[in-house]
Amino acid sequence: MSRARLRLAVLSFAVAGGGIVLGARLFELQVSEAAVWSAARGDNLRRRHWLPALRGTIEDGYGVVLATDESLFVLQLTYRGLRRRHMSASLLHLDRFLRDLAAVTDQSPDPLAAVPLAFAGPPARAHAAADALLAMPVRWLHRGSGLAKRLRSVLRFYAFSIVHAVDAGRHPSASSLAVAFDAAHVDPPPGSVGQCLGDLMAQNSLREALHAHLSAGLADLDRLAALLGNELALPRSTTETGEPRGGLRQWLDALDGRLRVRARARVAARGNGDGDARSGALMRLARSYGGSLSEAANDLVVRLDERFALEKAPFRVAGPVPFDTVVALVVGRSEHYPGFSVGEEVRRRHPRTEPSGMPYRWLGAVRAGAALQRRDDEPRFLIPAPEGLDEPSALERRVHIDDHEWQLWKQQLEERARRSGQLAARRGFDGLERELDSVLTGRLGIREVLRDRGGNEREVVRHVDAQRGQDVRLTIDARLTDAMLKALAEQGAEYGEAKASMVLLDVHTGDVRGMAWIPERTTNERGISLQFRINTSARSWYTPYPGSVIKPFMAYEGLVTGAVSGDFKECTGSRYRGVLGCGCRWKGQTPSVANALTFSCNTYFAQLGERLQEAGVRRALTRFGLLATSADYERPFGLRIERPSAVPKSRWSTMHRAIGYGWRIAPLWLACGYSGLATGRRPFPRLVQGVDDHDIAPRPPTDLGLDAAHAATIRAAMARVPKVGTARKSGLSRWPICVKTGTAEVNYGNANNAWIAGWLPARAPRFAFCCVFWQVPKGVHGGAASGRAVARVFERIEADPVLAARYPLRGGD
Amino acid sequence: MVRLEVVSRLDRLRGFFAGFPFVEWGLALAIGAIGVVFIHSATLDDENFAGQAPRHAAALVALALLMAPVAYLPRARLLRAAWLVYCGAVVMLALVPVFGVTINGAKRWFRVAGTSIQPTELLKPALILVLARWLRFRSKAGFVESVGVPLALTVVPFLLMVRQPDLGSALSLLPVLLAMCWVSGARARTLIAIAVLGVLCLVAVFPALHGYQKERILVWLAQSEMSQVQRSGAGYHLWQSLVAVGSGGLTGSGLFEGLQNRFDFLPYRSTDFLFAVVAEETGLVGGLTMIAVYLGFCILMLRRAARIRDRFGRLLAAGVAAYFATHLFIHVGVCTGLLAPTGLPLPLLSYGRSSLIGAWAALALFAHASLQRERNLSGDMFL
Repeated sequence: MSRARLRLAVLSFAVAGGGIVLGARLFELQVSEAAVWSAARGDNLRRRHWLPALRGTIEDGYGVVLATDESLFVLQLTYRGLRRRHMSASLLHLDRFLRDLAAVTDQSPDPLAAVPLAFAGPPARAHAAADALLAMPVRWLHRGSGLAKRLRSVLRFYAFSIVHAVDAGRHPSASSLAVAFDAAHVDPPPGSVGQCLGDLMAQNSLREALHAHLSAGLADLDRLAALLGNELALPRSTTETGEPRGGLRQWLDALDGRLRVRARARVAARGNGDGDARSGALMRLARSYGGSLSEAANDLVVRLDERFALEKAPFRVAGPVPFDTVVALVVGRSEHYPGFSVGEEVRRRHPRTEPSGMPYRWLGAVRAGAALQRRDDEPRFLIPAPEGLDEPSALERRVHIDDHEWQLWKQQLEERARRSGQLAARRGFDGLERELDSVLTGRLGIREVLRDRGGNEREVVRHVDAQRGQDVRLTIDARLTDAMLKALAEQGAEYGEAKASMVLLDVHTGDVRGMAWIPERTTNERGISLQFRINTSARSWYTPYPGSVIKPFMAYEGLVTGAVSGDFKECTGSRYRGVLGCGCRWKGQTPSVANALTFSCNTYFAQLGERLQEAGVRRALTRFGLLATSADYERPFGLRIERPSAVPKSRWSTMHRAIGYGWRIAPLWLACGYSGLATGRRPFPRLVQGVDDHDIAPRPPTDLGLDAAHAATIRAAMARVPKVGTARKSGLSRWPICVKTGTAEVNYGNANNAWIAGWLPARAPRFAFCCVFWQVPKGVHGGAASGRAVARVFERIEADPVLAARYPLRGGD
Repeated sequence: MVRLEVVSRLDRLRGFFAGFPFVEWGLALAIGAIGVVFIHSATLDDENFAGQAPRHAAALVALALLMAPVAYLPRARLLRAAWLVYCGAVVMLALVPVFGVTINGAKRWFRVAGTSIQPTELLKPALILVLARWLRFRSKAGFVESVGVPLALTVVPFLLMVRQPDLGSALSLLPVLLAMCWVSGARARTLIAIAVLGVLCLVAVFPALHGYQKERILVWLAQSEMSQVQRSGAGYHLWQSLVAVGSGGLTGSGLFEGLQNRFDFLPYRSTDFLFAVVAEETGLVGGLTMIAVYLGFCILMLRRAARIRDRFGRLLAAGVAAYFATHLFIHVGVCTGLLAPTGLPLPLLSYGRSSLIGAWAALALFAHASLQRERNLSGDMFL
């Protein structure tokens, strides 16, 4: 082989070797790393938007809507759009950019003025900035300016955009103006921006046109600000005198400032090892060697990039905004309000509120949260998911304008809301909203699209319609609850900041008709408001001892077991065994179980407890559902009610436990227990009557198998309580009622839990109730505090014909 | 008699086409046809570039027909014209900054009769021609004549191209120079030294590069750690190309179904990143096939070069093969992230009339070299 051929063969091998390298790289990318790049392509192309699902409506037992979803419009701003297309914003950023440029390089033009430009600044200042732009040497816009390309491109963008905005007729876009400028000037031209670009645009009076345009832009912002007015809670939106005008401009300054600070923070975070440290050593070496930009200039570029990236997120300006005015202004004139857009939001509305104006507190709260995604094959509660649910959009229900133009806008808005994906899932955060979240929360729809580089949707990959949540009907009567809340508030006013709970239920079905508590916010021991509002009629939050309201159950156990027979020590009013005081007033009377109940004698029940022993006391409570182990405890659907249990505290002896200390029993369970005592059948509480059209039947009550004679003894004794017993001052004797009071000393004897529980009518029970004032001052007893509160409720029921018809408190005797 | 006359004419015709590189030209046309398909795919959803595929097809055929006669130019005339062609191309290159038009921030084109001509692409075959002419008798010459002068001949257009700026095209000249010097008999260590020197020069001139060039190189160096901002800034071309190629997988997403391509994420997809379209739509199978076909095309040219007896023809053929191979490596290397992003179309495959003219001019030179293989070198002696 000749030498030349040998050399050509070597060359051929080199070429083949190069091919192998290319093939190997291709293999690496397309086989070894295929999954990585496919995922990257997915990031590029795919966009998934959640389609909002309305939550179900909550109604009370009589069809009154308590909570429902409504859609509303909010005004949003994508700052990027404003900065790039609103002249005053572009000028402001040009002004700031020039200042930054002056700080990092000696190649920049002089700063425009001593005071930086601001949205809220006087119009004259903006006009001065415009003049300064026109007076700037035009060579700074030229390639030969010596500025780094990235910095020059930013400067050119602002300058050409601002100047182009005054007359878009000659050049279709700012970039075409820039192209024309480049074509016309091979070398850096002399003169100012005003002269050069004025010639290019054939504008004789560029300055005047610029000023007029600027004034119009500022006036547009002021017009929008005036339209938003005081209805909208814009931060810093009003002047000291409460003037709304200009508030929007101040808000824009605040937003701009926030973006600036965040951009700096992100740059700083990168500088602290988040960014550069990640870069390879080679790159760092190259960067330091290359010296393409000074460090300060490079920082400026990075800061700009970070800032521009931050600006893409929409910020909520105000909401709800009136559709007819703001939407028409913003949507219809987007060229005047670049970056502003109107979005749709869903809000939980409470058409009927408590007397205080607050939503019913047991409803709880709804907050935006992570999307709840239920699998398609997962059954919904009670009802299978309907096929192809085509819920009319919330917008359509709200807007009833048939005008074609409005319809177009409407479509546009819906599309925007869909694209933005801002309507995230809203989850029940507290109370009933949380307990019934799985029912109330609909299934979010999904719209997955492929979009092109310009952000335009090209293909819909997946579209699943949102499914509305299910409606819930409660057993609660909002009207009765109002009456209970008012009664509690009135009675509580006598004790300062009272804390009280009340519940009323149907003795036969266990339907909770009324449930109320005060105060509205739950506080901890130091008076600090808690995030959750604890339903103190179903859960114990304060020291929970029920006191003497459990005595009827002890008495029944005593009667059943015969523990009440035999001699009991007479109550002298002094401390029993030196530790247990008794304030009853039956001194000298025959100690009987009936009298002991009527006068709530601690001495008697302490002795009874000693005779029953721990097991007997527990049995007495367990029979009426007031003590349950975690194994056999079941709570009603939709209601977070605490398991009745013993307080794990060893200092409570059996005699203490027999008079109601050492137990944790929620008022709702006590009402159920009293229902059992009244009818012999203990109901299970029910809060939710139905979901959508599906009724949730009440659970059959538990037959307690009570001894009729013993039960009658207890009932008779309880019927005497409001007449001659511990509730004689409560005013409840006006109704045929059986009650038992309880006053448990808490806080080391410095305060009382003042209880009352019972049922009415006495002989034909319909409703059981329980009321407690927690931690009332020492000396206030159950009969006086809770008894009077219950009496106030009954008075209100009888005074209101609607309630009187629903709740007949008399009869049957 | 008549029959004998016919046979005689057929023999003459056969003799006329004898040695013509039909296989290489056929492959070139085949590559061009593949290019038409993928240019069509790259411009399918883009109204602004919708006419590129038919224009490319038409230019492909027209240039093949137009350039074929060049192969039959007398050697002497071609040798005489070599300097003239080279000087003309360099002058055109030098005039670009004065009369050229700026597109995408670079001034590389002349606007002639409503169409853009890129002198860079025309210079490449001119350089091959002049280098072949110079090196044909310098197999045993000293450093200056065998390497120094060819280096100078290359550096002049190299610097002019860098000034445009067109770093990709400028860099594509160097492998051609090295290959031709190698074939002409230059010492390996000299060429290696030049290559190393070239790399050092590149490092040395790094600070003088344009800002965007530096940023692209920096991002390329740290491509595995590209930040989100870089992906949409200096690293945009690289990132999108890698995504397109990588997501193609083994068999690709299907012809005309490349999403990176169709949805406009891939920049310059009918020219500088056409291979990314090929790789995305046909996957590893298609990508490797394409590389194999192109490499086969280059190696066939080198094999034919080995059969050419005259030094000028051999150098010419080797230079043309190096020209295509270099473009393949740079183009595919850029698309796959092996090389820093630089705008270089793949001759025959990518859209670009100047590139196509350059490619067919080079192929015409190659055909000329092939046709002359039976000739004696003596004819060259008098020039």
